[in-house]
Amino acid sequence: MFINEVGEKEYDIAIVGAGPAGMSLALRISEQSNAKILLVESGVLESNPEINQLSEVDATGDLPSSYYPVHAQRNFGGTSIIWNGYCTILEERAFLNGEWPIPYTDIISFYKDAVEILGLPEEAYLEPSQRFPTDAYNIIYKPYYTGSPVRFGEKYRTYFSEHPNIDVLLNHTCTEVHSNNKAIETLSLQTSTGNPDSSINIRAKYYVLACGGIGNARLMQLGNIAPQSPVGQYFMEHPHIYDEAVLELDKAVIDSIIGSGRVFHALQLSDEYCVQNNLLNFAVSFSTDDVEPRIFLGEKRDAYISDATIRSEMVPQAANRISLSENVDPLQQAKGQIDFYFNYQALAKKSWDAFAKELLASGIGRATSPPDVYQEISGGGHYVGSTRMGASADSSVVDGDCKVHETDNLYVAGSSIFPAASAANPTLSIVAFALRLADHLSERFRGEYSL
Amino acid sequence: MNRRSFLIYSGLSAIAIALGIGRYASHSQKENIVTLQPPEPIEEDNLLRQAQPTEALNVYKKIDPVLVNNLERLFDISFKGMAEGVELLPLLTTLKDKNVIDAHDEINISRVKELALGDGMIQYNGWYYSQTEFELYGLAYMAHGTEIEHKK
Repeated sequence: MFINEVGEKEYDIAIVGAGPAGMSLALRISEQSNAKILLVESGVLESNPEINQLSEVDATGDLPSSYYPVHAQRNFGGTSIIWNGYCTILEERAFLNGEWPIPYTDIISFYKDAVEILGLPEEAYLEPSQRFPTDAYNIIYKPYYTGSPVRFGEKYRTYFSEHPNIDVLLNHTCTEVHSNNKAIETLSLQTSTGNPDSSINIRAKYYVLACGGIGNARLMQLGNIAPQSPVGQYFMEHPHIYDEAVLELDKAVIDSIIGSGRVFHALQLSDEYCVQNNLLNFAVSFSTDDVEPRIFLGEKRDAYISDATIRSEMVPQAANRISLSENVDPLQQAKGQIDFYFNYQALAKKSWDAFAKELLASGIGRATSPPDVYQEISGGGHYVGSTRMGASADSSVVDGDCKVHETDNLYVAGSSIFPAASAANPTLSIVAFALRLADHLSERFRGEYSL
Repeated sequence: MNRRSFLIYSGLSAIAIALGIGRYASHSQKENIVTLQPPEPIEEDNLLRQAQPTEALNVYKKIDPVLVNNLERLFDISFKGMAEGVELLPLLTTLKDKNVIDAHDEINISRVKELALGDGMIQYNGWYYSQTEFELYGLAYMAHGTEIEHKK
């Protein structure tokens, strides 16, 4: 139910942030146990410009400061309010390469339910990628799926307003996480609008930060949580390059594999090839609107002629980081300071050369050669990696269960836990990891709160 | 202007340059990818050597009409620039030695595909080609293009 004040109530789980991660987490836990859940959201039911000012940051690097708040919406439903709905699952490359501390199978099984929450066709889970029927083993088809983009605030408002074990507190911004040694004891909240002195503390057994790829790291820094870990470092985006390459693709080969229900088609180098050749994942999307004859490997064939869009992961770099600015937000909290550079030009060319060669050798098609310099590399509005998952506290922030190293009861949900960005749009995986975390937390309540 | 539009314009420009200047006679090599560039000093052992001025006029007489016919479907005007820098007979011999052109003057498509798996790549006129494709399309231009010239 929606509440206006917490009082002295103590919760089992307090979740900070009612976006896709926080809401998926609360949904799943509420279905599996009788745990008392508090869902705190900085925003209100609708988008509010005054509250969204709290997402403003100072920035240096390739993206302007005005870029970041756009993709860090504060309202019930979070950034799903502007989401385009593109979905595809994480590739296996980074798991094969040991960049994740968990096996790929640990997350794959959660995509089925994530697909259902997001209203996607089941092919998004059953056929996330396909190999071509030719010998083109180094090129795979990995489409993006969509249903009608889910606005979490609209779709799940009734569920949250009526559920007896979930309290939703809107218009309250978490300003500090208080810890005593390894245990998080309370969270400080202020009203996002109105009286700036209206600070309250809330208590729970477990706490989950689910306030976005920037917000999670910033909140930990405001509370000086896990200072020995690289909180805020390795911040990533998805480099996008639009219309600086053209593909000619054998129509018969492409037609043999593409299906309906995909929002756009994309090709990738296989995970195994990327690992063997020290490449990161990148997706090359194309359209099937224009057909003209072309010559491939000695034969004249009908071909799809398409501009290509490159969507890539990037190398995690410690220097790309979120820290606390000297400037403050309207609640007098230090704003986020983001220093970020793609540093993607060289990798983009190396990747494209490899892709073009494999595309040609496989008989699928032909690609244009890369320009000397890609004119514009833009972001995808995806904030990844600032509280990365890993095996140890000195090189990562959360462990394989999404728990902050060396704390007993603080967890993180969202794409900030990704140690590798993948080429995939993150929302589907954000939901899948939230469901996985929900199962982990529910396990801790098993017996005590079984339904 | 997006990349497709750019290529259309640059392709036309490349053809115009090829018609005006005549030769793509050099290449630079980076890893296994060759990028063709405007003329620079010629390597002696390079296949892509300058043709003798009179050779182009005699090309049609040097290729079996059966092969000319088979190459017709691979004709692409954009290879004019490449073909003007190449000697016909060494190129034909190379492709026959690779069994890309068989004893009956047929084009062995399977062999082209097989070789593509191990071929180096060439960047020509803004696109990637396998080495064998590049040679084959150059020959197709020479065969068909000069056939047209001969019939004139």
